[in-house]
Amino acid sequence: MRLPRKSRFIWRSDGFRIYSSNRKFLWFLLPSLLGVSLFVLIPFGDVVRRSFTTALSGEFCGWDNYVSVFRNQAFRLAVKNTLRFVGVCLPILLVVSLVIALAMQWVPVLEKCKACYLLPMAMPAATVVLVWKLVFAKQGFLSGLLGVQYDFLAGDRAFWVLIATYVWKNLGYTVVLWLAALRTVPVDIKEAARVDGAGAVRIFFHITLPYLKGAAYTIGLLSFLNTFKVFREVYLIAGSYPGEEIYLLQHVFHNWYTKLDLDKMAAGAVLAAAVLGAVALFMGRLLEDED
Amino acid sequence: MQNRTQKKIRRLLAGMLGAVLLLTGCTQSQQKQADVSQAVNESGAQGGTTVSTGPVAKGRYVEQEIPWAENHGGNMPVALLPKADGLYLLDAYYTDAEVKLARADFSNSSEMPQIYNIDSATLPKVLQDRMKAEDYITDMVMAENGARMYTVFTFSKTEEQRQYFHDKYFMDAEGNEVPWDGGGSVSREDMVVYTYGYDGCFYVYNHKRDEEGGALYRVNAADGETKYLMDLDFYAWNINVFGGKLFAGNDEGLHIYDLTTLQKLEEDTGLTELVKERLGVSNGNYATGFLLYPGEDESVYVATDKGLYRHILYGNVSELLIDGTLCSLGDISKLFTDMYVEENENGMPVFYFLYDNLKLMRFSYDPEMPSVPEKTIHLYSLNENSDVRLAITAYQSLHPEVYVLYEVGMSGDDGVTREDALNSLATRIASGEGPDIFLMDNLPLRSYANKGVLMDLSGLYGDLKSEQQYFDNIVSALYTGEKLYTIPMLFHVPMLAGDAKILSGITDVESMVKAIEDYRMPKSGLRAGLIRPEATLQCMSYTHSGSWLKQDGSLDREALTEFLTICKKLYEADRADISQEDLDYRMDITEYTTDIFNSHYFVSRQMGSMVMNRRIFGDAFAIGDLGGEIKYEFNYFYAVLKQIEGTDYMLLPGRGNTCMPEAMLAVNAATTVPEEACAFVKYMLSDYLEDTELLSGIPISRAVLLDMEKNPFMEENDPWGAYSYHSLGTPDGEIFQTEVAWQQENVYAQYNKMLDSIDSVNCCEYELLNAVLTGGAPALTGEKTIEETVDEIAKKVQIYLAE
Repeated sequence: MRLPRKSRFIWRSDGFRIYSSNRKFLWFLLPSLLGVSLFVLIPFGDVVRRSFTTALSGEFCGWDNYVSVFRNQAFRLAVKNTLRFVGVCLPILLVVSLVIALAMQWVPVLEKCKACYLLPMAMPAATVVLVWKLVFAKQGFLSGLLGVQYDFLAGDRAFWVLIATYVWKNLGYTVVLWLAALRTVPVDIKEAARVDGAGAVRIFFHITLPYLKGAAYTIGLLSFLNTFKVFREVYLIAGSYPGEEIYLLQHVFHNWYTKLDLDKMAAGAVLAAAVLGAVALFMGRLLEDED
Repeated sequence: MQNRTQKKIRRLLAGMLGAVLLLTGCTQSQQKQADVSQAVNESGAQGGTTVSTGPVAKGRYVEQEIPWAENHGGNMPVALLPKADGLYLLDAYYTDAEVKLARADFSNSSEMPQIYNIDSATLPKVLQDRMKAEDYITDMVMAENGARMYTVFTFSKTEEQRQYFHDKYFMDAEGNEVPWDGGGSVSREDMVVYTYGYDGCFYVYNHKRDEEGGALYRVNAADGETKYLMDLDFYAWNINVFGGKLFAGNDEGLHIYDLTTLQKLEEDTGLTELVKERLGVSNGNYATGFLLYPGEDESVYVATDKGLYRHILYGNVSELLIDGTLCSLGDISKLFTDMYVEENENGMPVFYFLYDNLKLMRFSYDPEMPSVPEKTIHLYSLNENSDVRLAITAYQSLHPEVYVLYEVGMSGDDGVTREDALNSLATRIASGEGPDIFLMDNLPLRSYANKGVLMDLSGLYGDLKSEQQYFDNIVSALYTGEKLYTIPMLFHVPMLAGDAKILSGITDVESMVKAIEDYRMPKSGLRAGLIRPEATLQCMSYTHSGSWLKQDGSLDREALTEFLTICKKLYEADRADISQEDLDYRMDITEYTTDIFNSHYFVSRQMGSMVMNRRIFGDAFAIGDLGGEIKYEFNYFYAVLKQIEGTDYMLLPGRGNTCMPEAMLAVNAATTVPEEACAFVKYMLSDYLEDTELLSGIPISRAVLLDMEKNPFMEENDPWGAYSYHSLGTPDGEIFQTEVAWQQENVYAQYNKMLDSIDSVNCCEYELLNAVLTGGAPALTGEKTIEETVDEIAKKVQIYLAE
C-alpha cells in the first residue's frame, strides 16, 4: 500500500494517525486488506513462485510447468468441460432466475415466501448428493418414473444432471438478487412509459433492463464464480475420476495435489486465476462501455 | 506523567508477551517435540508422568525377557505361581501330556535371571502317570500349597458318533488326585474355566453344554471341599477373583459380582472400556487378550495390547503405566497366559507377564529412562499391516529410546477413503511434515519417486546385502535406473499346481492355457478351480498387470486385449466339463471376496487351499499364490500337494516370472531422522523375522527363509513326523485330514530354485488394476466383447493416465 506523499505519521499516545482527511478510507480498508493479503494475496504470490519451480525440491524451472500444463490432455479436457459448463449453465441461470423474479413481481404472493428459495443453498452437499443419487441412479426414482434403465449419472447425461444441480442450487439466491435489483427501477418512469403507450415487453427492454445492468454485472460475476463450486457435488457423486463429460478443472487440480504434482497445480492455478480475472475485468469493462 | 505511565504499561505488556512467546516455544523442532509428547500422551504417558517440552522427564518401565537356561520344549504355559524361592511357571503340553514346572530364579540380582526346568520326577506321581498314558491335559491352575485343578481331555468313538469328555480333577498338596464334578452337578461333557483367587481357594465356572449360562463353585485348595456359589446367566470365557469380587468376561462385557452377598454389582464402565476390544480374544482355554491383577487400595492392574493400566474400581480415570506401543504388550500375535506383580526394594511394582509362546517378560521401573522417547519415527501405511505392527513392537522392545509411531491412513473405523487419506498425506508431505517411513502398498510409488519424495535406498540395500543374503533377483526388479526407492519386507508368488507330466510341458502362458483347454475331466468338475471371472482376472493379473502400461505411461491396449483373451479362454476352459448343478454347488460353498481392495492388495488364494480343492473336488489344476511362514504355509501346501500322486507345482506362467511384493518400505527423503529411519528399515528387513510365526508373506531376506527351513524338531525322535494336523469337513460330512510334516532339504531346494527364477515384480498402478479387475468380468462372461471391455477400461483410466 503506497501512502500519499503529503501524508505523515505522528506518534501519539493513542497510536498511529494519518493527517490526511481525504485518505481516511484507507483505515476502513486496512483490516480487510490485511486479511486478503494474508490469506489470499501472499499465498497466491507463493503459488506464482511455485509455478516456476519443481514440485518439492523447489528448483527454478522457467516456463516448464506451464508448457507441461498446456500439453496435458487431462487439463485440456478439464478446461473444455469447464468452459462448456459455464457457457451452458450461466445463461440458463441468469435468464430463468430473472424470469422468475419478474413473475414474482407480478404475483406478490410468491415474493412473500422468497426465503424458501434460499433453502437449496442451506442444504448440506452430502444430503443433496444422496437425493440426487436416489433420483438419477440406474435404479433410481427417475428411471422408475420413465420406465427405463438409464444411469443419468453416467455419460453425457451426467453433464445435464450437473447443470440441473447447479441451477437448482443457485436459482433461489439469484432470484433474490434480481428482486432486489428490480426494486431499484424507478416506478414513475415505467408509469410514464406506460402512459405513453409502451407495452410490457418494450418497458422491460428499454427501461427495466438498462437499470439492471449494474446488478447484472454483480449477479453474473457471482454466478460465474459459483460455477466453480459445483465440484463438491461432482466429487461426492463420482469421486476423483468421474466420466470424462463432467471432469472439471477442480478435478485436475485435486488429483494433481493428491499425486503431489504441485508444480503443475501451481501453474494451472495461475492460469485459471488469470482467466477468471480477465473475465471479471472484461465484464466490468463491457458494462462501463455500454454506460 | 500519564504518558510515562502508559509507556511503562506498554513495556510491561511487551515484556510479558515476549516471555510468553519464549516459554511456549516457537521453533519448529520444539513444536515437533510437543507433537511427539502429545502423541505419546494420547496413547498414554509412561509411568503416569507428565511430559513437558522443557527438560526431558525421566522414568519409565522397561521390559526384559527372562531367558530360558535350557531348551524347555513345552508349548502351553498355563500359570505363574510365586513361591519363596522364585517364580514358578506351570507348563502343560497338549499333545503328549507333558506337564512341566519351571522356575525363574531371581536370587542373584547382579546376574541376568534365567528360567530353569524342574525335573519332571519331582511332579506328583499322578501327573507322571498321566504323562506316560499320554492324556491330554488342557488346562491347569495351581495354588501356593501345590494343590491343582486341571482338565483331562479324552474322546471315544462310539458306533454312532465321537464323544468328547472333559474330566476335571482336584489334586491336593500331597499329590492325591480326586475327580471333581461339582458335587455331582458337573458332567464329563461340561466345559469349565478355572482361576486361583489367592485366598486359598480355586474358583471354577462350569458351562453346561447346550445351555445358556453356568454355575460358579469355590474349591478349597487345602482339602478340595466344594461349595456351589451361584448361577451366572451368561457364558464366561474367563474369570478372575480378587478383593472378594468375581470378574467374569465374555464378548458382551465384564461382569462383576460380590462374592460375599453373591449379588451382581453395577458395571465398571471405566474397566470395561479398557478391556472391551479384547473381551472376545482367547485361544479357547488358557490364554486371553487381557489380564486383571489385584492392586492396592481397591485398584486393579489391567493388561491389554494397549498397555498396562492401573484402574481404581469404579473410578473414572485409569493410569497408563506401560504403553503397549512401546513394548511387547502391543504384540497382538501373542496372548497373555498369566501375570504377577511384586514390589522391588524401592517399593515400585515390578510386573511379570507370561505369554502363550512361553516367554516371560519382566517390566521394571527405570528412573533414568526418558519417560517419552527422545526421537520419534513416523511410519505411515494406507492400510493396517499386522507384520509391520509386530515389527514395531519387537523394535520398541530393543530400542526404548526411539518411539515408532505407526499411522494408518484408512483405519476402517472413521470412514476415511483412500482419496481422503492420500490428500491428507500429500498435505503433510508438501508442508514438510510427512512421515519418515512409508509402506508403499497401494500408495502411488511412481509418482512419489518421480517427485523426489522417496530416499534412494540402494546404499542401504548394499549394506544389508553385505551382511546377509536377500532375494536379489526380486529387489533388483524394483530398481528405477540406478535408484532403489522401495524394498519389500515380504512377497507372494503366484503358482500353478497340477499333474507333473502336464506341468512339464508348460513353458509359457499360451501353453498353460492350451494344456487347460485340452484337458478333459473324467467327471463333472472344474479344470482350474477359478470358478468366477473375478478370480480368473485376479490370478492372471499377478503375472500380466506389469505389461499394461507402455514405457511412456500410456495404456498398452494390445497387452490388455491379450490379457483379457487369455482370461476368457481360461474362464471358459475352467468350466467346460462341469454340470450346472455342480457349478452351483461350488459357488455356494466357496466364499470369494469381491471387495478386492478391502484390506489387501489382492485377495488371498492360498495355494494350500487351492490344492485342497483339487483333492476334494478333483480340480485338474490349482492356481493361487503362496506366501507366509514355512511352517504354516509352505509345509501345509506341500503336504496337501503330495496327497495326490504325481502332482507338482511351478510358477504361474505369464509375462515373466513374477512375484507380488508386500509391506514395501520406503524412506522419506526429507525425514528429519534419517539415521533412525534407516536403522528401523534395516531391522525390518533383518533376521528378526526368524522368530515371527504369523508372517503374511515370504521374507525378502533369503537368510531368514533358509533359517525357517531348518527343522526345529531335528532333535526329537521322529524329526520327519507330522507336527500338525489339519481337518477339513465338507457339507456332505466327509472329512479330509492332512498331516503336516517338516520336509526334506531337496523339497526346499526346489522351492528356492523356483523363487530364484523370479525376474519381475508386479507393481501395477492402483487405479489401473482396479479398473481392470472391476471392469473386466463382462468380457469373460460374454456380456461384452473384449474390444468393448478394453474400450471401457481405457475410458476409465485415460484421464488418470493423462494427468
